Amino acid sequence: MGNVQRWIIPILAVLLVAGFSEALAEQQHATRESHGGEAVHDAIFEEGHGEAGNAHGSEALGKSLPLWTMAPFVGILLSIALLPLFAPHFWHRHFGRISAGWALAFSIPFLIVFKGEALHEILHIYLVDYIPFIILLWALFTVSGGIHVGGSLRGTPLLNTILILIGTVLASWMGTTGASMVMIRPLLRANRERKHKVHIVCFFIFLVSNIGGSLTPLGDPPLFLGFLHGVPFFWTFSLLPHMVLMVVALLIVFFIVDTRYYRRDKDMQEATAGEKQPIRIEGLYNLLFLGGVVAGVLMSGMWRPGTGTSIYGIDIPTQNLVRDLLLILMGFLSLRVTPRRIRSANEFTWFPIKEVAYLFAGIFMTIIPALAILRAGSEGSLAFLLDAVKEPVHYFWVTGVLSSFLDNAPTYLTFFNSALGRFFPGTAESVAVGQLIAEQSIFLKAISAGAVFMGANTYIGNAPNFMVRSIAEESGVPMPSFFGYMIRYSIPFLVPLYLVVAFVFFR
Amino acid sequence: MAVYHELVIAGHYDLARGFVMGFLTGKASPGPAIFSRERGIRRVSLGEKMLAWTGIHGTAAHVIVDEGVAGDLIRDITMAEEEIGLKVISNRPIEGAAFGFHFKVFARVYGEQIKRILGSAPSGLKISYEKAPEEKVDPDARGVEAYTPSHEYEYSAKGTAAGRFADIYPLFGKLLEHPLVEVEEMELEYKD
Repeated sequence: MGNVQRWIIPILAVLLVAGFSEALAEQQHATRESHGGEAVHDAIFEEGHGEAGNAHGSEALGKSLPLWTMAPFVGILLSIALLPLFAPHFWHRHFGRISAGWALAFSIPFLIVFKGEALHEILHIYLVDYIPFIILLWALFTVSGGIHVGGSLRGTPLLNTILILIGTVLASWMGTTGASMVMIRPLLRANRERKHKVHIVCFFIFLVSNIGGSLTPLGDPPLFLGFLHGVPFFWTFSLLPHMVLMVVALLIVFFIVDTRYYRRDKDMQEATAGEKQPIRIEGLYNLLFLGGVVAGVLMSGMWRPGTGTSIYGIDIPTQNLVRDLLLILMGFLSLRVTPRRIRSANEFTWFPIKEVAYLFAGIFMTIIPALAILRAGSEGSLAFLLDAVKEPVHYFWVTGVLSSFLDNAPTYLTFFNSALGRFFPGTAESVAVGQLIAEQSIFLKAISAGAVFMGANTYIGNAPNFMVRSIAEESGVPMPSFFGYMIRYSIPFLVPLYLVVAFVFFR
Repeated sequence: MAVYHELVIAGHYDLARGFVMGFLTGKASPGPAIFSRERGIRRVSLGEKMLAWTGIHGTAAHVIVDEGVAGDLIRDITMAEEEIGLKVISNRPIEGAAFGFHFKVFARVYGEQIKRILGSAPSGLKISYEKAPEEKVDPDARGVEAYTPSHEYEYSAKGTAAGRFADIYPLFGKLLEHPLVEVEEMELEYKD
């Protein structure tokens, strides 16, 4: 495995340098024709800085980049999808190096060939997307890790349904990872003596780790990426009917299934009699910090002071800087006031954030050509995709199915950009997103719902899925295999509901 | 050492089960009655298995009882054969039995439980491993992960247990009850 990795990435880098050179020659030729010989990177910086400049720069870049420049992006997504299944310990030890390898395989040739323009693209995606994304996840993870639900109630169908419902509601406000971390252990403790409990964890993954996060940009990483790209904070509330349909249907089905199993687990009812301990929530003051995180994100979407900082031509508005500082402050306050004992009870470590930071550093680097090509619309190498994915229902299914097997955040960003490239090619993103919401919001709803809901289809669809599976396995729940989860749970319970959602909302 | 017999009673399953249970309740020193369908013991008839899968009650009950009970039970069923519509169509003494099992657990507490169960097996039993028990500890994998899930502790094995029915059945039952052990159907070997 190590040898393969050692050879593939440098070879890919060499091929990419050669390919990028060709792409640059094509781009310069095209630019000379359309701009009277003006070099494209000069045009980018002369036309204006920040988003507008970046939109035009990306579009010009996207027209010339061949499809295979996306190879490192595909590589990193496949690494995230496959290595945990086939080489978990190798992946656990080397994920940072593998992510860096894919990132370098793209960035070195990209920088050699496109120089300043490449640097601008890289800085743009890190400053506008990656850093705020990591800060938000860090803040939500830190704050929610300071809340511990102790005690144990008896895992009756009604209690289980209520616990999952609470987790589902929390997911939109503390993120699917945070809600999963807070709620999974109380649920497992409540059902400790039950024999049949696999279904409880699987429905928890459906609702708390995925679907529950669809209501706000804090809920699920794809929606926060949308927010960073100009989707208003409260726009995601327009997914409420879609979410309610899924949640109500799944909770009813869960209650019926759990009641059947509960009747079979007769021994448990006697074994746990007298073991009830009242639920005790510690670290509730972290809800204040959670409120601070919500307020910070909301503020950055509503306050427009019209000032900011420019770094290498990339505008960072004041409200975004204030938001990020506020989020960091909330995280530090939570760390300061929450006793270590509470975090230990949650088995809190920084490792999940380290994973996100390392892997998304690679994802955001390698996604650059994909986004540029998509922004080029029908003139980019992914024109065939835009031609094939036309209707909202197509966006729902394609975004969803890909989100099932690849991480849903980059998948969302890819199709979000494909919709912008399709309807508003060449338009500055800040303008295009507003137009998309005003004129074609059904497409954005389809992409958002597909990315968030269908992350539940597999263990690899969304980060908390694996986390919940691991915690459940270590608590003695015989969780199904990768395909077992799909065949016994996600396909029979979720796919029929997706068909209903597609029929009702995206026809 | 008790000798066990497998009786096949033709007739409605629930009726046969009820009759056997009633018979044992009325006996002064009842032995165990193991209904193959309910305990994952392989039965002869594939057709009957298919009926069970479809939810339709089978037309025969396979029950394992000890030698002392078998004779009296056959006698009583034969006496009431016409009234109750049950008939003993087979009586085979059991020589031994075998079953396959495998497990993979991710916490020490469960690893220790399984070790205790396997360690308590009578010495006459033969446990052979296709994949020998392996305990792996990876301190780097401690804690919760989201994208790189791996466990600090793993204990796994795949094997087969074989031996006299009286010895193997208690082990079979304990492994069957453990939620983290996958136990295959037990196959019976007959004396005849």
